[in-house]
Amino acid sequence: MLQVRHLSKSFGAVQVLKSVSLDLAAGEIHGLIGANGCGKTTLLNILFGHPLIAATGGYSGDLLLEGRATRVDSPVTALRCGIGMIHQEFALIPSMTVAENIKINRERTQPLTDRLFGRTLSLVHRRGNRDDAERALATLGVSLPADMRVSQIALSTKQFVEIAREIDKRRLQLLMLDEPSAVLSQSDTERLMEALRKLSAEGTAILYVSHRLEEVISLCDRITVLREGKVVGQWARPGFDLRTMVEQMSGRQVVKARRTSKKRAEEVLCRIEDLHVDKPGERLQGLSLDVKQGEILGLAGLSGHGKLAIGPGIMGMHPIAGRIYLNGEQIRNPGASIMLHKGVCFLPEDRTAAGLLMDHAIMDNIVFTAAQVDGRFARTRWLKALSLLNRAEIQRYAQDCVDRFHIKCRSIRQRAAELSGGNQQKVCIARALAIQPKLLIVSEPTRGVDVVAKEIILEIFLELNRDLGMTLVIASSELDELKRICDRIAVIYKGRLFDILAPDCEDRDFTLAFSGEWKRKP
Amino acid sequence: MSGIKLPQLFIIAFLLLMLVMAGLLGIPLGIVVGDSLVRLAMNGVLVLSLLPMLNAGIGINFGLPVGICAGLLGMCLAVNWRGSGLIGFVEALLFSMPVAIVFGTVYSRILNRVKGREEIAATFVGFSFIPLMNFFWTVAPFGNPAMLWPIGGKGLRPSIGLKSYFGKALNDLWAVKLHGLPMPLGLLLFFGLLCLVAHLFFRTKSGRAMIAVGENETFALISGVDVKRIRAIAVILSTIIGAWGICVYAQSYGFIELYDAPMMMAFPAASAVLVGGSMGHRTTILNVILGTYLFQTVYILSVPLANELLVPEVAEIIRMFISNGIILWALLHEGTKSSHATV
Repeated sequence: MLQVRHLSKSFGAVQVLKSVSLDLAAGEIHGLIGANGCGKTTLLNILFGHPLIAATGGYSGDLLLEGRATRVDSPVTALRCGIGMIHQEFALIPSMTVAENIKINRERTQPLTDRLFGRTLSLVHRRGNRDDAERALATLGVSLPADMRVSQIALSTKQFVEIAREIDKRRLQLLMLDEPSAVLSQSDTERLMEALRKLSAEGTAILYVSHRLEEVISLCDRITVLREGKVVGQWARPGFDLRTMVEQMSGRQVVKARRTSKKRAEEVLCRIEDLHVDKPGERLQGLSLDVKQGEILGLAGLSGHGKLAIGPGIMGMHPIAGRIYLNGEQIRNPGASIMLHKGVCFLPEDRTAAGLLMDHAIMDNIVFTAAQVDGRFARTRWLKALSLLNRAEIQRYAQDCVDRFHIKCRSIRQRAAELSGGNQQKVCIARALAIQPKLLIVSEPTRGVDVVAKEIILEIFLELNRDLGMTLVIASSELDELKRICDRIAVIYKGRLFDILAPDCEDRDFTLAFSGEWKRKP
Repeated sequence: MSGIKLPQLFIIAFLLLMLVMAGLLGIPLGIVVGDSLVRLAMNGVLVLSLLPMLNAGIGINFGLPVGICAGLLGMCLAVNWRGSGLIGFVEALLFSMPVAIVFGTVYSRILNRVKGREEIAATFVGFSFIPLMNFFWTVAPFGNPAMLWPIGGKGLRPSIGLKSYFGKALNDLWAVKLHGLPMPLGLLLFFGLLCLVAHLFFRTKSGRAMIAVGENETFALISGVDVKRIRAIAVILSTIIGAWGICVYAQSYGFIELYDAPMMMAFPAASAVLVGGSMGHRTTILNVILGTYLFQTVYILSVPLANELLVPEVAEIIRMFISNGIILWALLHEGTKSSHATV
């Protein structure tokens, strides 16, 4: 159905795609995998006619749609060719209903007014649109009243609304998905994959990009591996070999990080009692939890149940109620400033929006928090707020961090925005370490990070815990990773602590706990 | 670092073209260069006053009249007590500072409430503040007859001559001639010093926090920065520098202009900083100096050129066209930047 022939693309002097070729048959699910920055997103953007591609000088190579050479120069052309795309970020209008979002620009209209005023000025047929929207959602196995506003539905459901919008297009031939499961929980991901299989059975080709290899392997008929803009491997089912694929992606072998020595600490470092956090989409409603000195505590649970709300809550990003004790002392009016002074640091899940100053140099990012909180790197001992910063010391410290965490960059002066996800996360960790925290709370540390960088980051966490005795609280949707590095895993269900499980529990137990059904054996 | 880019090169080229034409038409270039330096320092402080708010992400301070009114009040106090010469000027600076702090605090409270729409809110704060001050000027109990209406002896005059007070106090300080070029060294030094202090401020912990708030508030918040306080400090700093800016401007101009005069003063300052290549947050001293110089020099060159080449009346039209056209052009340029942002 689609043939890509020798596709190349450069951004300025950097060539991100080097003569990439691949074929897609109708009804095929094709996986596209590769480390961060290997050119996956660029490839999708070319196929979708993203304006950025044309603005940066277009591409070379050919696209053949049904055997005919086609040039997709804008999203409108892509639409006309029957190519739909689901972006990493949601493209939904929150204040409109689900049906309006799905049918946008393709609304059904009243036949009478059609005749009177023409299509563009005709009245919208609300019930018809709602029925269409609900039908599209039903194909995905989602039942949802289509007259709800998008702002009111859960994050994972939004993903389905996006897909419903694409499949509602009559002539959809190719659907491209860029990391669709990043925001979905395990069960939602399974539902998504079920829906995609159904879609492909009806003849739609699917191009699926994901960092989660297990997912890609179980879903796709064929897989293309990209590394540094080149196709380094193409696989067809059966005959997938996960280990070789990972080696192809990274160009080397990957060792999985794993906790070796486990200790049972009993001293409580941080006690949380009846914590309510009003974080939209991730509410906590009365969580009580003890974090013990020197442990790695995992926070697991389905998305929307509140596991990501603890850090933002105690850092004062959202309204909270409840009691927090550090070393037995109650913290009144918790907020970022007091928490940082007490040695609690938080790394948010959304690095680009909250974790980094994207326009600043790596070194400025690394030292920022320490300079603000402790007055570190100041030149004078007095009036630190107005003291000049010690550039030499900052450079030395930043260079140390870059070496220690193997942050891949041209220099410590490079902008944070230019780094890949994994390296950005390392910069975030380095920034937190500069204040020498006693307790580090991390949300989704490996989201959007490739397999290689993922293991390095997990290894860094283990090292901090082992060598510096740092206590870590890691909230993550990647249960497998939590099981490998945590001492205890707390399952959050409906905004409360459901239970604390040992990391060696069965997956089945976790799945039951996530849905609030597991009972501790007597 | 945003420095000289294509649009700036374009303006520089335009300026050079104008200089060549002025030379061909026999307009004395020495005077033009001397004038451009005076106008750089005279307007530069007002442009500099936009910097803290820009870097804190609040946007262009279209409420500059608030700071200007604080400066006017400070100068009126200095004139009232008959301060003259350099001492009078320093008095004006000192008197205007507490006023600017009070005005700035109130102003910052308002701007902290209208997050996201600060520029338009600031414009209207400026516009509505002026009538309030007009009322004040008419009833303020000043005693120096040189400031009051000659008939009736009540209320301040629309413009107060500074000749016997601190008019040209800075302009004449260390004014020398280098190879026939008049050089207002004292004035330039004062402006340079303020720029240096501002530059150094943005390298301190507080300055860094301000830039961080401008770039990413959430990041600043979880790094323990009190965002509201930093924004308030930025507004107060902008107001103080704005007050000083009008003092520098007035002593050079020779008059204190009251009542509606400050109404539109934010706009040339805004044009200047945009011409200098300011890209929202991340505005540097270089943008300020370069922008002010280019904008003011285009301004003073266009008038004699228009008078020579076209009918004399057209000069004023050209002035308006240039100062407003440049804002529009710079905003357009800024707009294209953000719509081409990389993914």
